[in-house]
Amino acid sequence: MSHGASSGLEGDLKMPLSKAKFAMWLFLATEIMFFAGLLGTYIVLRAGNPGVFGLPYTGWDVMWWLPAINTVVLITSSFTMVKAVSAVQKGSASGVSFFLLATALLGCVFMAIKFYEYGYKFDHGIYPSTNVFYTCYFLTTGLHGLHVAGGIVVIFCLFIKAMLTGYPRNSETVEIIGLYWHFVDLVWIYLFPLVYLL
Amino acid sequence: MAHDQDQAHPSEATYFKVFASLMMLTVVTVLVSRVHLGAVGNIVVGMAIATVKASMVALIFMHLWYEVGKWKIVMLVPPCILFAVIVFALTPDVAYKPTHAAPLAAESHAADAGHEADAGAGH
Repeated sequence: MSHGASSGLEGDLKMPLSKAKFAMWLFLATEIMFFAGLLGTYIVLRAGNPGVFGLPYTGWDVMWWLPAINTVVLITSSFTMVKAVSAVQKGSASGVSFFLLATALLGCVFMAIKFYEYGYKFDHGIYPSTNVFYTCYFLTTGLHGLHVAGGIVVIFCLFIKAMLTGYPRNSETVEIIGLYWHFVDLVWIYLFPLVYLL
Repeated sequence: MAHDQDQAHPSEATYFKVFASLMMLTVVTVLVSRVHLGAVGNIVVGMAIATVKASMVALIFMHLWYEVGKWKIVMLVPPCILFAVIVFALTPDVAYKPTHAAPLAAESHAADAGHEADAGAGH
């Protein structure tokens, strides 16, 4: 039995990344599977129901630009998130606070538009039970929205912490939460054309 | 920076270029969806643009390009394969089975109804 350090079976694993970041990537791998189930269901059901999917929907002419704005908002929030990570690396406490707050607020704008969009559909008598498209629509965008809401809470907590303590240069916390936030953005990049445009 | 790969990060300018590209591609996504390339054509182009955008987010914003080690392949490729397998394994059965499609065909256009009738006749 080899007990060389390179065996990597016991003791301190020689990891090319920190355990915390590794754990976040592991979580994101399960998240890929989570959304693979949702988006896979959407794609398969869509292929089987051409009469229900891909048609002009009620209020489509008014509503298509709202998710487009939401796409811009979420991409901008990803950009403010990388700026927050850069601010940590530069040791700029005020920069960290500013960009974390900006990211959380952009997330709130996304959620506000989402609520308006849902309300608009409910007002027009569109519910998850309307047809199989809207079942998929509310399921995928709703669960994505919950991910955004969770992200906002965590980022806002980070903002409070940054305000109170600042962040040391070597802190990875912001970067790791950033990975989650970018992933939520990444999912929306697929959801937007798939659910609203095509 | 160059002596320690773990600490290598893209520059602020790179971040901004990615941000600007993502914005541009969002506009392209909306514009292309207005051009009729056929039902399949629009979906293929839309998903291709989305994949380019998603790759930029993953590789630059999430630093995947700069991470060292094979863990990223071991961890991230299998769930992506799962995604493809779910879609490709279930589509022929769920999507093109006449028994599933027939009740909904009543709501579709005449062309689709004709297609379903053909599928039913062939069955």
